[in-house]
Amino acid sequence: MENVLEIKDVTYKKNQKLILKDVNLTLQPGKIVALLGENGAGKTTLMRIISGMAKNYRGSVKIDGFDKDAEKKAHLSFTDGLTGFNDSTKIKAVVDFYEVVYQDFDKSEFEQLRRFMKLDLEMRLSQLSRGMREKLIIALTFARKADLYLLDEPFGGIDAMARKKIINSIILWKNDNATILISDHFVNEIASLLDEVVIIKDQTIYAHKSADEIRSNHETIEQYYEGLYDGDEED
Amino acid sequence: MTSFGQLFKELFRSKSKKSLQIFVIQLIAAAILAGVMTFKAIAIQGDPFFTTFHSFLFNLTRVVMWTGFIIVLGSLIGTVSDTEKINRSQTWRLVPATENTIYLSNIASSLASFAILVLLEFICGIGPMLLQYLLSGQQSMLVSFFSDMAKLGWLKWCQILAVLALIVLAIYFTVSFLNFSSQTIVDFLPHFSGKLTLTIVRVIIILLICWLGVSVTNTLLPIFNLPFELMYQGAAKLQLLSSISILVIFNLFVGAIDLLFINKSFEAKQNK
Repeated sequence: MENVLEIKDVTYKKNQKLILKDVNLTLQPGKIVALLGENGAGKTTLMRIISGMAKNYRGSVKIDGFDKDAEKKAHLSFTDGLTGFNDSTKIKAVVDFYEVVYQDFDKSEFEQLRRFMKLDLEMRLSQLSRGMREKLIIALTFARKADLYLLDEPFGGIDAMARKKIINSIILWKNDNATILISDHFVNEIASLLDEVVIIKDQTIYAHKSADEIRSNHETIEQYYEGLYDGDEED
Repeated sequence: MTSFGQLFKELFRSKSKKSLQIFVIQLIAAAILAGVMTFKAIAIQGDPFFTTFHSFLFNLTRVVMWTGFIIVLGSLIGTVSDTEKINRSQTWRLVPATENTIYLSNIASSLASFAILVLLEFICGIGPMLLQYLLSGQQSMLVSFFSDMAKLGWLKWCQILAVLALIVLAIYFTVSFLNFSSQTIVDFLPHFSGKLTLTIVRVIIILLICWLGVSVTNTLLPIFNLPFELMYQGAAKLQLLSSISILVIFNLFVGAIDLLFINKSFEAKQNK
């Protein structure tokens, strides 16, 4: 089966600072993959490069074999902060926008997700707490039938109970062949979902392992991840 | 993939809504102001109803025309600002369409919503004036007004409208150029660059644009006059057509650079 994501030799600089160097990454369909790394390691930048939001990088990025930005964007669903809308915009209007511009947006799927997240269509964006806004973003992201979902720290403001419910349900919201790349600090909470783990360290992909491989070494994913930084702390 | 038409429709809907809101507020304020001015006249002079209505229309025309200029200028600044916000917005840039489609539909929708506002201002400025002439039995004035307009000919009117549209388009493209180029330079400069650097870069680019504008106009004007001198006769027509040519060339040139920037280096603002 064709790889859903192929990143080859990607190097990205901003303000003369090297952020990512010689990044190579391949993801297969149907996987749930954690993208882990310290703050400022380049996780968000990598997602922005994949989605075509970051420009001027060297190397190539293909999604489902497509390398043109417009085609790549049509095949991926990225958690967006909704800053393109006024705060007075109602959730209903945001949904209408998604329905017009995204052909793969499934309104009935959104309705189910909205009920699950307990969101009121008449609420304005300004009335949403950080957690509610993040729930809306997750609902909008998964209401699209994409091949690749990019979730950039999606649960930061969501309370522990709701977070657990959402994480447990994620697997039900995606197609079997869809891949999820998720960056998050709550490694423990998402660990049970994961098929693979990708670590960004020293501006590149430091490790890419299957979750089973890590577990077979009698380690939890969190232990494995923390273990990578033990030496650094001693320094 | 999202088409130009779908994007234009969505962008135009939100932008024209804003233009209509501004217009309605202006109209209500103008009507209140015209009412106050008229009732002041009744209180002082004791004018009968017919004269009162007549002077209300007169006052309304004056107020709409006075405030219209400010509203049109404000709306132009507003649409320029909205256009640039959308250019920088990750929400819009994530739409599955080419960068060219997103940028051009953004510019076209701004131009269309601005044109709607100008049209409404024109209708509301001229409407009460015409009604006023009709009610006061000055139909001859109306006839001479329309015959004066007709004398100019439809071609000339089209040219005037084209010049106005091209000027507005040039403003949009120039502001985008300023925004894209300065942001690209700031993204390239070493990490210490802050708001001061951005301001300095923008001032330098504004000066460059002014210098470039003057040089291009001076260089191209005689060249583009020549073919039109052969095709048309009459000084007035010549001037307008050469202006249109210069503006078209300017817009094509700056627009092409803007497209290059948005495709290659101008990034959407990061948001979470």
